[in-house]
Amino acid sequence: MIRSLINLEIALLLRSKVAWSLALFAALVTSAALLIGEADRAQKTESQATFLAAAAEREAAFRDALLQIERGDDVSPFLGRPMAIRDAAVLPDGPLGDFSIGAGDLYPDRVEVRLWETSASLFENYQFENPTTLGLGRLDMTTVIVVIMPLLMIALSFDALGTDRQSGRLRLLLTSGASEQAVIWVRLILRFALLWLPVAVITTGAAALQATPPDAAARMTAYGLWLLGALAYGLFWLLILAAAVAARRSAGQAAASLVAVWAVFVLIIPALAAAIVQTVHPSPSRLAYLTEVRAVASKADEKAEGWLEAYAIDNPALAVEENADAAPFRNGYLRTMMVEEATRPLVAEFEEVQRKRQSALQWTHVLSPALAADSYLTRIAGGNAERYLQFQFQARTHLRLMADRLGPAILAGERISLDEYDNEFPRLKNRLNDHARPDRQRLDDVR
Amino acid sequence: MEQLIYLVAAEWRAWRRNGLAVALGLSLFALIALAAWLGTQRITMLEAERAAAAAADREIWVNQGEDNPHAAAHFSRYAFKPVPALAVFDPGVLDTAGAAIWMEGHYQNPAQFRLIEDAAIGGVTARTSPAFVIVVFGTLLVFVLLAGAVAGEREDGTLRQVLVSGVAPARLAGAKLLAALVLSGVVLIATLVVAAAFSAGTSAAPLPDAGLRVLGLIVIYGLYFVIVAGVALGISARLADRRGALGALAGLWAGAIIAGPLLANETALGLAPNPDGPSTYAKIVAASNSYFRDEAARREALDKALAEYGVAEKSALPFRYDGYELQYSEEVAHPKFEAVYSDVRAVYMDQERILGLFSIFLPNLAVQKLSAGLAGTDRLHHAAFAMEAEAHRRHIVKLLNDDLAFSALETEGRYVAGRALWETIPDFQMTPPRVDAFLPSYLPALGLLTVQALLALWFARTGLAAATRGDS
Repeated sequence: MIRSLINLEIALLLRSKVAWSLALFAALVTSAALLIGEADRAQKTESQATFLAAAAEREAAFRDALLQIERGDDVSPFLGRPMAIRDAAVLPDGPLGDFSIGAGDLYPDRVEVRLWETSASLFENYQFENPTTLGLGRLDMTTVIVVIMPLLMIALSFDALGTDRQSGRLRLLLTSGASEQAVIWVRLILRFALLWLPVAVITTGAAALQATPPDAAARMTAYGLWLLGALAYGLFWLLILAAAVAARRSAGQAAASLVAVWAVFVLIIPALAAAIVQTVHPSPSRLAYLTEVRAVASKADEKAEGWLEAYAIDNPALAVEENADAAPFRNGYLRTMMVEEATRPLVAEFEEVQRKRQSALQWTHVLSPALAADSYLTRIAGGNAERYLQFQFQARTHLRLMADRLGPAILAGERISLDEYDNEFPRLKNRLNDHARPDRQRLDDVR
Repeated sequence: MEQLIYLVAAEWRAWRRNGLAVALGLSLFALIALAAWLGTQRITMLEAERAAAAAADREIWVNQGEDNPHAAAHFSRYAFKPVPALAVFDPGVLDTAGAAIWMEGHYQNPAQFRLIEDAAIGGVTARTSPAFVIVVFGTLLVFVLLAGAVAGEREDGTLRQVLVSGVAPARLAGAKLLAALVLSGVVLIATLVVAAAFSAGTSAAPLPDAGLRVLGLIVIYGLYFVIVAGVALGISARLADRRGALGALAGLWAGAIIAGPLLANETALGLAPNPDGPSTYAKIVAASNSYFRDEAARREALDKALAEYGVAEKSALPFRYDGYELQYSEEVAHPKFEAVYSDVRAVYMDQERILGLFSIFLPNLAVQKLSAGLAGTDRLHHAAFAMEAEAHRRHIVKLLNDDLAFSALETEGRYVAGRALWETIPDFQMTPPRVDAFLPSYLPALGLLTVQALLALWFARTGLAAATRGDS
C-alpha cells in the first residue's frame, strides 16, 4: 500500500510545476551562495598574498641590514635594531571557507606584530567596508540553509493535506487503506527530498572540487559534518511541517502558522537572544578601554625620564645601556610595556566576557534550532567570530613573547644576530599553525 | 458614506474573528514595544559611554603634561560620533560604522570601534529595531490579513451575496481598499508612537529638524504600506482562493523582504567589491609618508620658505622650520588623503546605486534607505561626521604645528608646551546636519516609493474592479 502511495505521490510531484520551480530555486540559490563564497575567498587569498609579499620584502631588507652589520659594513646606528622587527601573519581560511563568509567581513585576517604597537593598536584602521552593505548581511551557505531552505520547505509543503482534506479527496485516498499519518509523511518526505537533493549534490560537488591536498581530507571531513548538521536542521523543519499540516484544517491556516513559526525561530528568538546575552553579559565599553589606554600612554610619556631607573630596579639582572642611538628604541619598548601592563586587566576582562557570552549563547541554542544551526554550520566552515578573535588573541600573546625575547637586547642597546633572527626568533605563523591543529581537534569536539 | 463605513467595519470584524490574525497583530505590537524598549536601553548606554569618553578625552588631553606640540599632535584627540535620538526607531548603520575617529597628526584615519564587532550574535537574524520589525513583520501581518480579503469571499461565495444585496462593485472595492489602508495606518501610527515615546526617554542628541524628520518617516512608511496593502489586495482579487492568495503573498514576502535584500547586496558587492581595509590604509600611510621620503620636495619647500622670507639659512628664518615643515607636509598630504577617500566613496556610491536599482522591485530597500536617512543614522550622516572630524583634525594639528613654529622662539633645545596650549585646543563638537542637506540623495528613492504606491493602488483597484465585475 505504502509503495503505491509513494508511486502516486512521486508521479504527482513530478507533474507539479511549483515543485520543480522551488527545487530549481534551491539549486540556483545554493550555486549562487557557493560562487559568492568562492569569490570572497579568492579575493581574501589574493589580498593576503599581497600583504605577505610586502611583509617579505621588509623582512628581506631587515635581514640585509643584519648581514651588513655582521660583515662590519658602515651602517646607520638606527638600522637593524630589534624594535624594527615585524612579524607578519595571516589567518588562513577555514576548511570550508567558501561555505561561510560569517565574521570574515568584520574582523581583520592580517597582522604585523612589532614592538612599537600595543595590544590596543595591533588591529586598527581596517574598517573601510561600506557600513550599508555590511548591515544588509551576506548570502552564504549558512544563510541558505538556516533562513531560505525552511521557507522553501514551507512553500512546497504547507498544502500537503489541507486542500485534499477540504475537497474530500483525502477521504477517497484513505478508503484505499492508507492512514492519514502515512499520507502526511510520504508527501512531506518526498518534498523534503526534492528540495534537499539538489542542495546535497551541489554542495558535495563544490566541496570535492575545491578539496586539494594536503587539506583535502580535512575539508571532506568538515563537509561531512556540515552536511549532517544541515540535514538535521532540515529534519527539524520536516517535523514542524508535519505537526502544522496535521493540526491545521486548511492550507491557508497551515501556511500562516508555519511562516509565523519560521519568523519566531529564525528572526525573533535570535534577536531577543542577542539582546538578552548583551544585557546579561554586556561587552565592556570599547570607548572606556580606549580612554584607559590613552590615559596610560599619556602617563607613560610623562614619566619617560623615570622609566629606565624603575626598569633597572625591577629587573636588576638586565643591563640597561645609556647609549643615545638606542634611546628612542628603548623608550619605545618601555612605553609599549607600560601600556601593556596597565591595560592587561581590561583585555582580560574583554576575553572573559567573550568566554561567558559563548557559554550563555550555548543555552540560547536550545530556544532556537536556527541559532544552533547557524552557529554549528559557521563554526564547521571556519567563519565563526571566535576563530578571528582567537587570531587576535594569538597576535597579542605573540607581542608579549616578542617583548620577552627582544626586551633584553633592546634595553642593552644591542642587536640580535642573523642566526638568532633566522633560527631562534619565535614566529607568529608557527604559533598559528600549531593552533591550527586544534582546528582538527575542534572538529573532533563537534563530532 | 454610511454604507462605506459599514463595509469597512465589516472588514475589521472579519479580521477580528480570524484568531491567527489577532495573535499576529498582538505579537507585532508586543515586538515593536520590546524593540523600542531595547533600543532605548542601548542608545542611552551608548550616549552615556560617548559622553564619558569625550569628557575623559579632554581630561587626558589637558593633563598630558609638558610635551613637544608635534608629539601632542601624534597623541592628539578623538572625535566621538553623537548618537541621534531617532536611532531608537532606526539604528541604520549605527552598528556597522565606527563610533570614533582618532584625529591623529599625519593621518586621516577611518572610524573605529564598530559595535557589530562586539555583538553577541551577528548575521541576518539578530536584528531588532522598530524600523526592522515594522518592515518585516508589519508587511507579513498586512499580507496575512488581506490575503483572503477578496479571494476568501469569492471562495466562500459571500462576495456574490454582498454584490447582489445592492452594494455597488466600485463601493465594495473602495471599502476593501480603505479598510486595508486604515489597517496599515494603525500599524504605522502605533509603531511611531511607541518609538517616539521611547526616543523621548533617551539622553541622545535630538536632531535640529526632528519634527520634519518624524513627518518624513510618517510619509515614507505611509507610502510603503500603501504599496503593501495595494499589492496584497491586488493579488487577493486576482487569485481564485485564500490558499493561492496566501501562498503567493507568503512567497512574495519571503522573496522581497528576506531573500531580496541579500541578493541585491551580493550583486552590489560582486559588481563593486568593498575596498580592502589594510591595503586602503596602506595608501593613507604612503600618502602621509610621501613628503618626508621625497628629498627634492623637502628641498623645494625649504627654498620656498627661504625665498619668501628673504634669508639664506634655515636658522635665519623667523620661526622654527620644524613646525613650518610639519604643517607643510600636512597640507601636501591633504589632497592625497582626499584622493584615497574619494576612491572609497566612489565604491560606496556604486554599490548604493545598484541597491537603488534593486529597490525598483524591492520597495523595502527604498524605505530602509530613507528611514535611516530620516533617523540620522545612514551612511551619509556618518560621512558627515567623518568629514567634520577631518576638518577638526586639520584645524587642531595646524594649531599645534603653528605653536611649534612660532612660539617662544628664544627657547633653546627641545621646545615643549604645556596645559596653557592644550586648553586652547577646541573639543570636537558636531552640529547634527539637517536632513535637507542630503535631499538630492533621498529624492530618487522618495519619488520611486511614490510611483510604486500609485502603481500598487492601480493594481489593487483594477484587480478589485475585475473581481467585483466578475461576481456581480
